[in-house]
Amino acid sequence: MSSNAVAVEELGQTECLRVTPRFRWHPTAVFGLVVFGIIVGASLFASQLSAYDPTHQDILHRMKWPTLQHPFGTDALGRDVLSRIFYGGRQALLISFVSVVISASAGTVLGALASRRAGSLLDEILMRTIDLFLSFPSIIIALMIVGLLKPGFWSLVLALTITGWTPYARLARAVGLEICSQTYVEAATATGESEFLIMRKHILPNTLGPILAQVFLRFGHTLLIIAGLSYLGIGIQPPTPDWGSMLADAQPYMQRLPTLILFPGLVIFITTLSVTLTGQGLMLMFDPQQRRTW
Amino acid sequence: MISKPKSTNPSLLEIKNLKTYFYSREGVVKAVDGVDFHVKVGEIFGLVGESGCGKSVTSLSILRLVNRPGKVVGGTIQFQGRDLLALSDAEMKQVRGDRISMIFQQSLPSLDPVYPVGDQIVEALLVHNKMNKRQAWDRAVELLNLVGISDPARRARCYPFEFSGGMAQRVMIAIALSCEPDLLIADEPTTALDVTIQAQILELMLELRARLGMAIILITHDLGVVAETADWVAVMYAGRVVEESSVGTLFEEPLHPYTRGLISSIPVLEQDRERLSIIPGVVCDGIDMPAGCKFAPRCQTRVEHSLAICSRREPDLIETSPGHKVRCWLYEDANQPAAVSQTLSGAPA
Repeated sequence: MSSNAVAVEELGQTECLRVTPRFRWHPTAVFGLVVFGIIVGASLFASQLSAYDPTHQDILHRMKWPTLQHPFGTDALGRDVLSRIFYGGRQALLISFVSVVISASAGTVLGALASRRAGSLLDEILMRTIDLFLSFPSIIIALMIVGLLKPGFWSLVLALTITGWTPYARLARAVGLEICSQTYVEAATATGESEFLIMRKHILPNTLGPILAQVFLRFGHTLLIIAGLSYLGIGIQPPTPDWGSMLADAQPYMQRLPTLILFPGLVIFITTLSVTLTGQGLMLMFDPQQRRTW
Repeated sequence: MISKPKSTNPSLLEIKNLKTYFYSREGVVKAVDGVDFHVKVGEIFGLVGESGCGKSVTSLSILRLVNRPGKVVGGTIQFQGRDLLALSDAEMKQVRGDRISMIFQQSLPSLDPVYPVGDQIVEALLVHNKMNKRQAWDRAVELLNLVGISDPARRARCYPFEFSGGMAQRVMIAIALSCEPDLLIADEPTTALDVTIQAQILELMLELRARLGMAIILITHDLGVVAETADWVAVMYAGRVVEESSVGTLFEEPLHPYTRGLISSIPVLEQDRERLSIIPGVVCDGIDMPAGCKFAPRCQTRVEHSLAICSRREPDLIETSPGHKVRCWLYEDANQPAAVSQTLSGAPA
């Protein structure tokens, strides 16, 4: 307040007061981050948190409703559901993270390159390749890749990256096209900046906002695809516990013991939701012009 | 107006027969077709004309920034003894921003919204100079101070959206001046600003010219701006220079009917007129150019003098008096334009 008053007194000294509000946390982002943090934390410290070995079978106590000993009950083989949920996120979260990071960076760089060279052969080849990928449902491509290779960590990452980079490339190209037509890119050329510098300093940073929003959306989406692949039996392989395969295992007992479906399903839902909310909140936080609106 | 002895100043930029064409689907648009002029060291050179006459394309051609489908197809641009059109891309990058820099009409969109303005000046400095970030930042603050931004150390950390158009234009000037260029091309630098700010920016440019000694090409459609700032003027029409002279001569004794039209269309306060005088019609579209003088279809003088040659052959740019050139059939034979100018002076009733 005092600095503003000084600025106003400098009459004839013209214009701008500091209008950017101070950085503050958006409640949605805080909520999303806390929930997501709890889930990641639980996965990291699964061995400390679990009372049981997630693969230990106790046939005598199979198909139990939640009790004090087993807060989420036990499954058809007598394994503790809570322990399996603690462990079940580890693989999925890691695979999702790795594949999203790789596909977002590759897709963004390719898309930005294409936008700067719009109409060129490179652009044409890239865009038609994307069309080709998008004309098949991604789950089919992923099925094919994992089917050809052996199911495992890296084959899943590969499958998800190959099906996952296209939205980023499209988005980066679309946003890049708009940026390339901006005067500040022309001005940068007029100051003698190289193509590389223009790409790194102007085009990529300006595409980052929409790309980041996409990253958070796709992270949740990727988690769902992994769950789907595990459900189909080609994702994370037993005995490694996984939320998606827990759903698949629970299917025959849906009516006898609905908690077997309910808990892994809820966890997948909450994880996806928390990531998306975090993304939305961060978007608002890092856009100084948006900071005034909440 | 600071008038300098023109003849003693060496030439900084010499453009000869510059041709920049745009290859569109409908045909070849000759946006710039045989432009000649030269700019002397430390001179403010006004380039005047209405929208679409090729002013901006000329300036972009100098920096070789004309994008597809446009192309510089002919002519030479001698700058400090080198032909810019013959330089390699890498050599041209050395010239851009370092020896010749440019400011644009739209000042706010010329700044990247994701960086504080100080960083953008630093960036321009680092492209052409060997210095570390700390030195560059200090220099950036210094430059902001030079262009009259108060509290520059704090403002350097502001983002472009926190700036008004006038302040953003000052920042653009700071960026353009960062490497102390020999030539500054200002493409309608004040068009997007309101009049008071406009005057401040022009004042600033005059002051900086006096201090740093650079030449300025001032592109504008505003004759008022030219009268206040420029030393030498070229009037462009349909991709050609139609008249060129010192600023004083142009306003006292305009020769070309188009220049007269431009000058008489400026509203004058004392005159009580119902309507402003206008030049009928618009600039021809560049594809279907008239065969003779490009201004002939809109030229009332031609009709008054019943000159038939105008629509058949294009006149050359001739020198009627030392330093005063005009492209018009009216002056092709008579070297004494006074007789004609008397019959022409004054707006049509």
